[in-house]
Amino acid sequence: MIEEILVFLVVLFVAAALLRDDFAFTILYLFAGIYIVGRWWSGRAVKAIRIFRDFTPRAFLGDDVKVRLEIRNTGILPVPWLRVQDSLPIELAAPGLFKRVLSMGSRGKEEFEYVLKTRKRGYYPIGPLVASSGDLFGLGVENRLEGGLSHLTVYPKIYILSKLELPSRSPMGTLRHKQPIFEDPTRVLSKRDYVAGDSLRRVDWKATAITGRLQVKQFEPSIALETAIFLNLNLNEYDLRARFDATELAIIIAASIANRVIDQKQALGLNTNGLDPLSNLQRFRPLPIRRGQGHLMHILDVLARIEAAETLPFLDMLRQEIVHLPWGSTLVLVTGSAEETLFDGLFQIRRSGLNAVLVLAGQIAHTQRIRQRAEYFKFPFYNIRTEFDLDMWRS
Amino acid sequence: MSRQQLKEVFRLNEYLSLTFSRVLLVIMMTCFGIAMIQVMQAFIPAWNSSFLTWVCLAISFEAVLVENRLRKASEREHSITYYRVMEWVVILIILKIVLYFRLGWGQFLDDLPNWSRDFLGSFFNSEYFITVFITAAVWGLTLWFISDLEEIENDVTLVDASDMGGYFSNRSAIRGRMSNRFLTIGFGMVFMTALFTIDFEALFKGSYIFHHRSGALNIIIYFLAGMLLLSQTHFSVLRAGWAWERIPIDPRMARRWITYSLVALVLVTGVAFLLPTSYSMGLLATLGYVLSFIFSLLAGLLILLFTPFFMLLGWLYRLLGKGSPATSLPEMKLPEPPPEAVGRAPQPWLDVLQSVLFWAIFIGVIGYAFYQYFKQNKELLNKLKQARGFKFLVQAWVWIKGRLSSFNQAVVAVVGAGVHRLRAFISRSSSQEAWNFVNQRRLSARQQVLFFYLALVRRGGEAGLARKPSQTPNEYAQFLDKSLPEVSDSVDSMTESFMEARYSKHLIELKQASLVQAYWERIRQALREMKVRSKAR
Repeated sequence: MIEEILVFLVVLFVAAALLRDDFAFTILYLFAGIYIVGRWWSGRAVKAIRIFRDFTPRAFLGDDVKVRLEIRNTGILPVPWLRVQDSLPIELAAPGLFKRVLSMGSRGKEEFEYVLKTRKRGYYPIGPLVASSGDLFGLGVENRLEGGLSHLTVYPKIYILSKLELPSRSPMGTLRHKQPIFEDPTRVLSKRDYVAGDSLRRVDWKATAITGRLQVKQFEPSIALETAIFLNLNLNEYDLRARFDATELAIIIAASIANRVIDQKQALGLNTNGLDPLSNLQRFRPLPIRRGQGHLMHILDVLARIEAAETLPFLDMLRQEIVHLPWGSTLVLVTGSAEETLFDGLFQIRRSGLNAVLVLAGQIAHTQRIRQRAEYFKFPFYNIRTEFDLDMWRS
Repeated sequence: MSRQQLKEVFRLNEYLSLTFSRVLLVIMMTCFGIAMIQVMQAFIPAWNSSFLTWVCLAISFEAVLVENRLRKASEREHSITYYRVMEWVVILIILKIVLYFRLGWGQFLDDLPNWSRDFLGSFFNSEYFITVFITAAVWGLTLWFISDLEEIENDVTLVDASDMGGYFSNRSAIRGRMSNRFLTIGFGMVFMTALFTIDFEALFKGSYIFHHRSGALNIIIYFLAGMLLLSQTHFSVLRAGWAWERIPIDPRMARRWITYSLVALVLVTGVAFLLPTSYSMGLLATLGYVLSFIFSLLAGLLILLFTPFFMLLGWLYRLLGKGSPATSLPEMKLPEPPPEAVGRAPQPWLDVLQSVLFWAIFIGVIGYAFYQYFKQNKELLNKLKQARGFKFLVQAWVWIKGRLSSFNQAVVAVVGAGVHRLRAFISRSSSQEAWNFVNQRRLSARQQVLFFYLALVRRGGEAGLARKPSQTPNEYAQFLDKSLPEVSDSVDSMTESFMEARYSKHLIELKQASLVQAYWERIRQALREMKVRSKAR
């Protein structure tokens, strides 16, 4: 429309010059003024807009996340119209967009709230929020303002695996154990009479003085469960028909095991060959063996955002990473298949003083054969076909 | 927000916007009617047409109202043409009644017998014919606009439209159509009123100057109302998009839209009326005024800068006893004043300001047009840049720009240095010590003692008896005693007086100061003699 107005103004200008009519200039000023004021107003108005998005950036699966949008006009000029559009991930919000058209007064403020349904684990971008406005007369272009991008982490589903017991060879930890080889001198279980062969360091002199007979301390055996989860997210090593479900199941298993280990106040590490969207190289950097709730949240953050892809073979990753593990650590291998080469690798792992637990996720062919191989090598083996199978570890 | 609520919000906004648009349309068409009346008035100056303004207002209002009713009527008994014909019969009769109401019922009774003889000739007389013509034009244009306005009235339908197949809205095209019509009619109004109020004889003789018309308020109102209507149609176009996407909108939006557009328009109109609409001076004269103003400003600044130097020179002349030469200036013979320019009053500052504004806006508009044109046609600009003549122009511009820049830098440097020197000069002049000039009479007794002692130290230094920085006054006195044994008492007394004046807080009497002066005279004499003796050797 601006072209038509320009043509009109030129023709009017020529006519005014021919007829020597100064009145046309007033009209020319009117149009020019409206154009300039309109452009200036809308430009200034958009620049004065401030948008704040407030929400809890982490959520567990099934939680409703309330997102509060606050839009402020910090300027004196009112904003005649402002179209606000917040892009939302389709997995969390059905329309995928939050849209509003506002009219804001001088130093006005508007607040909106919408809810995101966390239906699937992941690391979701919330936004960017795009606000656009223009002039009242439709003579200028629309001005756009792009707000910040936030992220919402939805943790994978976690099952409380209170019956899960993992083997360990690390002595003197915090977990009670049955084998006396892992006796912990800090845990006195009982006292008994001295018998020939007992170490003098075990003699309880106070008890000896009270009873008048030599008494020796009996210690409770304990282990430290230093665990490293190896999660295979190489799509090529999963069954083609169920690879997406199986990888998700593998992540759920890893998250549940991690929760169990940390809950037992044991140290845990995580290795995976999945892709990390936050990493520059997209290659996941292994999380070292640490303990504490903070570390668990770190692990869950990774498990929330990690993506399965055609990446490094599982065995290669295993060989690269086991050299960094301390002696006696327990490896929980969560994968979608178990070939002969994997068993060879596991055998070497065992020989280097580490324990291994093999967990296969999803529907696997030849399960019986794999079970036989695991029994032969004396590795604990579990096949978790669906989430219901995790019930065997639940109370 | 549910779909029903969404529809309700859209319906409210649309209702307010369309009602306002209809009011604007009535105003516009009334203004158009007034312009037509003015044209007719130019042909028939004796015609009393004041009543017709109200007729135009009423007829455009009627057209809007009837169109709305006809559109909304779900079951019509007859076709629209039938209704229109009936409508016009009523309008014609009412117009006739209005005319007779103005002329008086006596005229009606006089005319009544003629109707039976020659109905067409007597009923449709010239005044009635003109009235009907203007009324019909206003009615027709109102109908044309209102039919377009009614076409963009379907927000609620658009909310459901994405469920329907093949439904589309053409509001943008309708808006374009309406804006074209508004501009064309507006141009016609400006052109026609200018054409019929112009003095052609003066125009063709070349003696016609820009004509200022005060009776064109209706045209201004027409354009203002038209712009507001364009604003509302823009709102309608945007609303269509929002309704299609089912975006919840602010229920106050239409009200605010109207308020803000009115405020913007009032502001712009205020400024537009303040801006100049004619030039009393040509471009070169305006440039001349601007340049002379700049030069006089620079000259004033230079005078301001050099005044202290000239004042200083004047003081020096007076100090040296050279008064300004008493030469009398030759009597100046004032030139005869030029004959007063006929018809050309001295330029008041407002005229100059208006001319400057006018030419600035004029050149700005032209510059902006060229900028936009070359922005759109970058290829043409590139070709122009490659052309030899253009290259030369660009190089010349770069050269001039460079010279101007260096000139500017030089001026800034010179002015900066001058200001710096002036500041240094002022700060020096404010400090008496810097001049090393002491008026002994103005000194207190304590200061006098200090002054004589410092004179002793200075003169001693000149005579080869300089005081070492490490020497205390007593040590220096002992040193002087060795060289000037004849005035050793004076030296010791003067030193004691100095130490008293320098380090005590009690009052030093003038008597003591005069004693010190006497000591100093003796010492000075001794120093002179010593100097003479050393020269003789």
